[in-house]
Amino acid sequence: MTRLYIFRWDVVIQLNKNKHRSLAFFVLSLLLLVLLCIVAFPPAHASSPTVLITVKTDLVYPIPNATIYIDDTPYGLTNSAGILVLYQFPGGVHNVTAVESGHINKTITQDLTGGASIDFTLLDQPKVVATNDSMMFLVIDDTVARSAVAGANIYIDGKFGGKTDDAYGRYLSPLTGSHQVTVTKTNLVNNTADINFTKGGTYTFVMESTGKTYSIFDTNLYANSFITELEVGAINTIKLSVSAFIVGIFIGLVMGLGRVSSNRVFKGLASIYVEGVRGLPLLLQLLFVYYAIPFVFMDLTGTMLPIDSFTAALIALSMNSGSYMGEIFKAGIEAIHKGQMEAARSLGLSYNQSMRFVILPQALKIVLPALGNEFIALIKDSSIALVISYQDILWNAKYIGAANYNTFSPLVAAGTIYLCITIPLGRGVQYMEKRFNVNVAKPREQGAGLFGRGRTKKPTPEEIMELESNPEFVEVEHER
Amino acid sequence: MSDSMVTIQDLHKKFGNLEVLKGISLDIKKGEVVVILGPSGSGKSTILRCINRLEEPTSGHIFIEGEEITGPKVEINKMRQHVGMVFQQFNLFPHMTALGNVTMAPLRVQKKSKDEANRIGLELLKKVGLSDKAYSYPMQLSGGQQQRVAIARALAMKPDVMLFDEVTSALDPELVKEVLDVMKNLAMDGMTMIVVTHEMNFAKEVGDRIVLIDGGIIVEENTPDQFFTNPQHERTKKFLNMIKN
Repeated sequence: MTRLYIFRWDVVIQLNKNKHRSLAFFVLSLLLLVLLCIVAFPPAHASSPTVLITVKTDLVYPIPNATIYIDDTPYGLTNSAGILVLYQFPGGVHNVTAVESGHINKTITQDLTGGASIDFTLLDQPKVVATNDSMMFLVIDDTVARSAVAGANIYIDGKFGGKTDDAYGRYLSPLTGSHQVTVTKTNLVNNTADINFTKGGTYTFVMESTGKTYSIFDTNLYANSFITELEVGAINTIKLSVSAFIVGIFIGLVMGLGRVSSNRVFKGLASIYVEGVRGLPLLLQLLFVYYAIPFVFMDLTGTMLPIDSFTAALIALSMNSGSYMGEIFKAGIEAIHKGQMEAARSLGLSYNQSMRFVILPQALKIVLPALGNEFIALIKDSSIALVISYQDILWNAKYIGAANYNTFSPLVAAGTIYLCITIPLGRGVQYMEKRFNVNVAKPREQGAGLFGRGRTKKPTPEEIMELESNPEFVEVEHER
Repeated sequence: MSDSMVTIQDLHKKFGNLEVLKGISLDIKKGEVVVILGPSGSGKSTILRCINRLEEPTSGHIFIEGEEITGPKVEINKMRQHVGMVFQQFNLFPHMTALGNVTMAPLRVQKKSKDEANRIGLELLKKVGLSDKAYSYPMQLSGGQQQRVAIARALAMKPDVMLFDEVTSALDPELVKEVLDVMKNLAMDGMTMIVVTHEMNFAKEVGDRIVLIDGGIIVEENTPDQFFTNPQHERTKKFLNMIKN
């Protein structure tokens, strides 16, 4: 049989019940007020009839600054999201044209009524044109993105003529007359056509994928993606994690101090923060900071909130990590025997001085390994920033994977880099744990901590007496 | 009242429903050594902790040199400058050297310069016989040495009264003497001391007055001679019998 003492929250809560109730009432009424304001002041453009025009590329990227004509009369330019909202427009059937340099114009004939939407998909202008004394082959890949195929082999009448260039997937030839042309490229189906060449002509070969699985592990791609992910991604990942860690430590320290504070307001705010942030998915917080807050800001002020993906990820990660670190600091502070605080106070030090000079220096030493683990978790969690296009290790891996139709090798490379970072750090934390345990345990061997790990003595009858007389503790019989 | 150092009037302390102190009144004169005896859980330590305001008294008044220290308007940190406390578990700051522990209050509370604080610290460490351990960390010291550093630390504020809360209970028997010797010297220097202890010999030898507390009230208050040889109360006789066995 061993004795255990458990802190009785229900007793404490009962004591403060009324205060809590009024606080909860205040917070709820505040929320209600905010909701009422939102209902009472709806956005200005909610009800007027409009025509929504969206201009996109065939890859559904928005095309900004496209001029929209209705029956040859310009009506406006699309915004950065490729959208133009027409509040005034002629009714009935009209020709609507979207014009943007770099893309092929497109005209749609549609009945314009309020609430109508018109989607334009504009194709790219051919990037190069053949010169007058040559003709050109353009080789593009149909599988994904209709991208140019570089390094495709061009055979003319069975004879190797050359390779397409890297930038545009083109090959120029001075030949004329009728010839048989074959285009080959690894992983793409050979394409053969009989063509009657004329000078200045452009011939496009659309290639299809062989449908065959790409090699599971492409060493070349692995090496290339490893280098890119390391040079670009890892630097961004470390930049983000280190900054978020530093900011998080400050948040965590404040929250940890708040959680152990006797000031009800400070304690309440810290508890709301820690419980709230810990209870929400990190992804939600990230999307909230990056999309929702600028959205609200736009609605309230009418201007864009200049927030880039690094700042958004830094805010979300440090807030999230800060709440976990708050709990780490709280545990660290609580692990220091209360006699330390009493001794410091009995010397005449104020609460803040005692924290600063006595409790925190000891607590920091205890929490160092836990903070190390939090840093490792932060490095891994930072990969979530890829959803807001922060170009970290994982974003680069995904990008390279999409560009090469091989997600396996870049992701393995990314994994390698993450392990190269996290495993040595983990070892470092283990080392810290071993080293600091010695220092922490020894002073406690003199029977310092009643609850601490270093407790080597049973509580004296007087200590038990004092504990039992304290309403915040209850004794539990515990079967071993 | 003029020569009173500490005056306690009708002190009550409740922990929840349990009343630990049920009206303690005590007057301690300047330079007096009062030893508080009593069985475990009788509230001896609670009295000391109330004098230092580590526990808030439920009701009653405490005066130090005629100045009331109970009540909400007291500057608690200033008040604690006059009261030094030594704990059963030493409670030395493990991340600081012995000298660092002793100079804490002069440096941080009295805002003395580092040289001045170190001078005071070394002097006090010499007084408790630990000059050579000034730069040792608490974990490198024996229990007795640690407790002597704790006494030096409490003395660094030049307090008017020293509270000793079972300072030898956590020590190995062979280390008890070195701590008691330091306390004896302190008493001979004229320090006002309130000592909660189980060391009967110390009580007999050094104490000017002995107070027996049981069940939250003062059972008997007497000189050491009278207390040990001619106890007035049944409860005192029982208590003395118990320690004899």
